[in-house]
Amino acid sequence: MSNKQWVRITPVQNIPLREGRSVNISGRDIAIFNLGDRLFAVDGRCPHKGGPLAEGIVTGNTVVCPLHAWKIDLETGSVTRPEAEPACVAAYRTRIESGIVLVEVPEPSAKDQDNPHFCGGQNPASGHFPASNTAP
Amino acid sequence: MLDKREAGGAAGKKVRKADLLITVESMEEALQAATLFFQYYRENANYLERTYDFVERKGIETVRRETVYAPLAIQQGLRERLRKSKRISRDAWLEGDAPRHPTQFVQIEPLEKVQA
Repeated sequence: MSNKQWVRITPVQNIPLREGRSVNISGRDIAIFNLGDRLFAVDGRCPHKGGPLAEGIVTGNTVVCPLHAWKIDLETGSVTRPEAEPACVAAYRTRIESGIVLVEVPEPSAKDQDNPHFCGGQNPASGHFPASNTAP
Repeated sequence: MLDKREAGGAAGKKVRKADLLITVESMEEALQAATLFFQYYRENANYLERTYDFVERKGIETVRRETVYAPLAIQQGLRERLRKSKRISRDAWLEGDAPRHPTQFVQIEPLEKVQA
């Protein structure tokens, strides 16, 4: 059953190395990051106070929120600073096709009604998608 | 003209009188002393450490010995490293007029919409 789809976003050169860019994909504010060997996409707002993650500084596989320095793992979307904080943001799968960045997002009908910030710690690369309708 | 160069004073929540760094006779010497102290602070202070904590931690005698009373080669080194660092630093606010990347201030629009 297909409840998500790949969406063509932008030429990859529009996202410079080790920086993030925000993009609104049909109502979803998503931050896309270029880590050189791979791209990451997570919800664009920090779960703390809504800081713009795309404008954060990238360090390793994480981004530091520009507002209060929360640190978010781009691979899983989970908050790694403060350490005890169980919050997370949704992470989306990405790929590049003929120089175009694609992001996999849920279809509008599958919008996460009750769990906008599902915190299951799943790695989207492992096949799970952190949305309510695919939660185990 | 006799002028005193001081460093490490504070006027925040805590009050601390500055320590005497050196007494000089000209504007040129005063600037030199300030330059030496500035670079010494950049190289030796802890992250976010204020000068009044820094000077207190180091002790003004150490600061004087390693800046204005340091051997000439040491002083030249401090000046040169400051010059080098200032040469490659740039004012990030100017990027508003001259972005360093074409999409720095341009909102990226998706090439396609999510199919309903």
